[in-house]
Amino acid sequence: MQSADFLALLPLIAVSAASVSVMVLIAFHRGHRSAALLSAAGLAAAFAALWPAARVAPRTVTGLLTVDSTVLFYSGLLIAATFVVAVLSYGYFEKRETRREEFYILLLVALCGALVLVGSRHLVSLFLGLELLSVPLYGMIAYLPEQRRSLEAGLKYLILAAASAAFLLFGAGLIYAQTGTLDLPGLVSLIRAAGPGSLLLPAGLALIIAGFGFKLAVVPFHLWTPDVYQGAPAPVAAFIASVSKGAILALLVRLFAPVLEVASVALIFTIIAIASMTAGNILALLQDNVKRLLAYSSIAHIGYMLVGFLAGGQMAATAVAYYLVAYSITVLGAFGAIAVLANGHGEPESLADYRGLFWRRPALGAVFTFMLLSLAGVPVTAGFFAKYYVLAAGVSATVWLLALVLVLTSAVGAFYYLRVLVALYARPDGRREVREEPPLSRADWVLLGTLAGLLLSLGVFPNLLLAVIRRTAG
Amino acid sequence: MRIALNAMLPLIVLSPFFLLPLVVRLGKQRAQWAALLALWPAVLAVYFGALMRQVGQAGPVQASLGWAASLGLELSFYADGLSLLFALLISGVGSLIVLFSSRYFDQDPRAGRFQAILFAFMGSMLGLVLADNLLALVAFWELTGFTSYLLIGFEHERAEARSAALQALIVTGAGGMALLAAGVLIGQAAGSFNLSALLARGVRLEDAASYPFVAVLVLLAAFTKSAQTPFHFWLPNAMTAPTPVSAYLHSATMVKAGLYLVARMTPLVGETPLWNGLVTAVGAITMAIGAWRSVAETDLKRVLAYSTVSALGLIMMLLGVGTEAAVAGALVYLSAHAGYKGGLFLVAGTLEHEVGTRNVTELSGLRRSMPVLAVAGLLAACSMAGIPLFLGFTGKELLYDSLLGAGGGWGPLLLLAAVGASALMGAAAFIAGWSPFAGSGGPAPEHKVPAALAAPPLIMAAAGLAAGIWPGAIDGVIGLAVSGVLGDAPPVRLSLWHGLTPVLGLSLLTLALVAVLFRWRIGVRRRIEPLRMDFERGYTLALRGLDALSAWSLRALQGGSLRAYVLVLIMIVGGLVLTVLISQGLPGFPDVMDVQPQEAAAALLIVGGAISAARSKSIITAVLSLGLTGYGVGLTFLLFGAPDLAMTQFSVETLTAVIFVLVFYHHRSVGPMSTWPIRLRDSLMAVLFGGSIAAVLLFVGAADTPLRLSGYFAENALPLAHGRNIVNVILVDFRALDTMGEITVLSTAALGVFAVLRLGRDMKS
Repeated sequence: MQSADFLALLPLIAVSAASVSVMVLIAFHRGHRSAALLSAAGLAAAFAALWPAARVAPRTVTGLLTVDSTVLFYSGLLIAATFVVAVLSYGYFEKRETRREEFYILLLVALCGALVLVGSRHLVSLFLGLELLSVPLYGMIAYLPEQRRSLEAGLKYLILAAASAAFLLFGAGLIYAQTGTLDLPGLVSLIRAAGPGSLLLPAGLALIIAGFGFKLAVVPFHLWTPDVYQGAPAPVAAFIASVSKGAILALLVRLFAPVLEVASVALIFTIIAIASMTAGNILALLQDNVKRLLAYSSIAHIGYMLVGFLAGGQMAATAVAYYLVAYSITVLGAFGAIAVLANGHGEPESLADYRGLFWRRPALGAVFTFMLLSLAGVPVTAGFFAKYYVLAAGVSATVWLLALVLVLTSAVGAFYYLRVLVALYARPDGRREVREEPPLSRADWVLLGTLAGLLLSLGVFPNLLLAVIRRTAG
Repeated sequence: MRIALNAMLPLIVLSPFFLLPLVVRLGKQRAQWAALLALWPAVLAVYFGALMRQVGQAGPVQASLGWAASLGLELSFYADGLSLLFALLISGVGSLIVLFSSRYFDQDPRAGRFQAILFAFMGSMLGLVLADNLLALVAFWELTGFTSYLLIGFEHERAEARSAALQALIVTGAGGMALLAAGVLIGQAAGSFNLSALLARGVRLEDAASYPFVAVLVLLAAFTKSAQTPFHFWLPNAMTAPTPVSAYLHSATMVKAGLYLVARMTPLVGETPLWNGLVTAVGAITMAIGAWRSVAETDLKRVLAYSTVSALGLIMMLLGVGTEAAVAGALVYLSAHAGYKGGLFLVAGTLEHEVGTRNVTELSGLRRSMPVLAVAGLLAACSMAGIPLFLGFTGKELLYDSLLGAGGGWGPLLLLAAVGASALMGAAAFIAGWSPFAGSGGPAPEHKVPAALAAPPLIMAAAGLAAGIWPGAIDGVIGLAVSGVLGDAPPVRLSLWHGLTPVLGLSLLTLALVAVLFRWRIGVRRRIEPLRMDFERGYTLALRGLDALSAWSLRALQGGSLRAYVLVLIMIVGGLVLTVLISQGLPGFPDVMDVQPQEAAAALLIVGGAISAARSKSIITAVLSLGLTGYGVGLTFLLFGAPDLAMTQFSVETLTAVIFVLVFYHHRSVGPMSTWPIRLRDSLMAVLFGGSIAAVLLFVGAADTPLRLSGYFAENALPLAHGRNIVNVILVDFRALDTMGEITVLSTAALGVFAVLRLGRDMKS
């Protein structure tokens, strides 16, 4: 490795160093605030390191990782999202009687995994990244051991994630047996040139798709999602929705788009996309639990993004990148609102907890409103452009069926976001005891305000982001 | 002057949004201050009037703001006769509604919020009719839906207000989705999203492959928004809205958006048999059904709502007929309708405000206590019934005239329906506008009607009379609007007197029917009232069906049981692999009979361990059996020449077994086992899954095994690294960085252990 390689890996190195530093810190001095501050500083440093890395990009480091502008764009998104999660977690765990410091180590290690995953160009680094992302998540999901649901969710995720990782690994083995290479760009062009060929390669591909499908939580690999979203602490659910899924999707768009030229692979992804949009939206309809509702909605949103992925081409890459940013902002904001409303006993989950929130906490109610409107794809929010852009990509690639399903299911989708909205603005009926809602810290305010501001400014001036995407990921 | 008017267009259209903070502040004040808000829509109306003059001289104008140009989205606005006619109605009626609301909501703490939503709605509506870009049109379309949701559900303490608002939003929102799809399709087929460019180029989509979809999608949007049968049910239900909202949204503006859309799209996708046939037929049916129901209702606002449905159907039908006379008639009728229906709604609202009821059977004799309101009601009713001298009369003359002229076998039938509907609507007009004031008895109001409540309906109703007497005032505007629909049409000349024509005869016949129907209205109502068709059923069934589907799939797929999840995962992955196997036609299996005894022993160990783990009733036995499977795998590694892997496997298996036994020491029994059908199902699944994976594995042996790395190290240890001990060379030279990493990992792990140990000590102390 040369010094330029280190420069290219600087963001990753900064995150790793931060995780080790936090561990060293808590070995000698336990303090929630200092651990959180150190993590935040590390994340900020990692974000700043994107620029020196961009100077040496594009570059292949050790044959395992690619560092180019696309990778750096997505890395920036993942780092920023993790930063938001870290700030949310600080406020969230501050209210809890539990050992809190280790959480930040897990968070940073999981981010390392996501960064490796996004940049991987080799099945080994892909698997390494995936596991580095998954293993800390087991702990993060079950981080509130006194809560049964949290533990249960952690266990479910552990078993199912381990099974799907096994599938992925087995698939990689089959592919290696057939082709003798683990290098992803090489594999992709091989498959593209020769088609799936004989038995081992298609079987391997099917297993790898299953592994990806699990992490993306698309139908029919989505079963864990509502249970995990419900059981996990709200900041962790936000992390899963934005960072964990975002990393896989970015990798898909960056490397695997050419594989779609193989008809059977495109067919599988089409079925997955349609099933996810439909099932996600229909399952969400009757949800009274807001976290489960967001889980189903995330299934649908990944389905929408897959429409962009399937559309292929230049416009599709830009559309998916835009969608991912918009969705990350939105889902971080939505779970952020849930997290700041959590008290020492638990989080507001049922729709009844949100009844009349707007009248009790106008600003928070407004932020939540914006997030829901963006999820529904209402104009003047980032979600509108995201959906429009993906739809336009689908239409220009003439994938009519997908475009039609997207339009129909998002009409269904608007309905349940509206139910939450109606609850937010309903007058409290007085019959029910309002759960205790803690005051918001200044950091929470700044964070949620920034997210809402970003959401609206991207909704009014989408060019701000598009310009960046065009220069990097587009 | 000309340039200035053009350039101001985007700012003017968006100005209601910019003013929102001011509107909230001012709207909260006492009525005399809040009334000042009405000035701004009035200014807008003057502006649109001036722009109309300019368009009349110099043609349509277009102005844009760079917004999201790279997305194909530009916030540009396009004003021609058609859109300016709508803009004039929106701002003109809007001004009166704002004035009325300032009094209606006087000293109501929600007044500021109400006025703000009203302004936001006005801005969205202006954006809708003036948008140049199709997608911006969609965006404004959805915004009108959303703001109208807030307005209809304004009294959200009432459950029916909430459900009506939601219903309106769902029905019109679904239409908006259709419009979005249509917009994208049009942009795709025509290469531009800009109406100005499409209209200027004279693009026609008739021959595009997607034409039928585009036409149907556009019409779906228009029919839902303009409350056409079978989607019309939301409009009468939306009458739970505060009256100013009904007067504004449900007479003059939002429900007209669908008509605007049909008129706007006519040059692009219209003038085909499909389009004209659908628009005419749906319009005519809506007209008939609406008129029929309007005389059956007793709630003033529902009477007005159904007559609005009828009028919307009538205008839609005229747009479908599509001749110059028909389009001119449609636009005149539309303008007249905005005036008299807005007026009648406001009258109904004032009655409710002052007397406390809107039930026609309870209201009578109010002309003495509310003379001004009575005049307003009577004037509006006259226009609606089509009494000569009123604009409604002019509109009806054009209606009959164009239907008489229209060829085709359907002409007479349409004419018959139009005469019948007009007669029923005329009766409804007097039921709503005059019967509360006629007669004697009835309730008495508590005080005089304030001027701010009485003036707006009076102005609207009087405008109908003025325009009727002096049609020259509006025929320029109507002519410009017609040419926006049909291209360059000859100028329209409206007049009061056409001579003794068949049309006049039809008008007189209609008036006679109106008189008869009104005289015997109570009997008519009794007869008609039981005959109702439930159009809402489809909506209710669709929503219920969705709910049932959701509940069913939740139960079926999302039970929360981990076992079920694992089962599904295995089924799907196994299914995928099986599909691959079958689709490859199961190529001849490689020779597998060449098995050594020790290999068979390892295989037996693995399979036996797995079976025993699945069958055992105690956790400890299960853990130990799994350990056996692991040892079997290790043995396989050993047999095939990977002793290092084998050693790792053995130690990991041992350690795992020990840890498991320690953890589960106190939880020995597994608890109740599952029933045999479930066990049978599970074992079938397991065998199928394991079998398909094993089948795939059989082929791996047949594939070429690629190169190994060990040869490279053996060859290059001495020449490259100058070392004879290959292991040493690998560790400190070839993989020096890896070694450094490993050392770091070890020391980091040690730190972690240290932290955990300290944690234990802290907890003890």
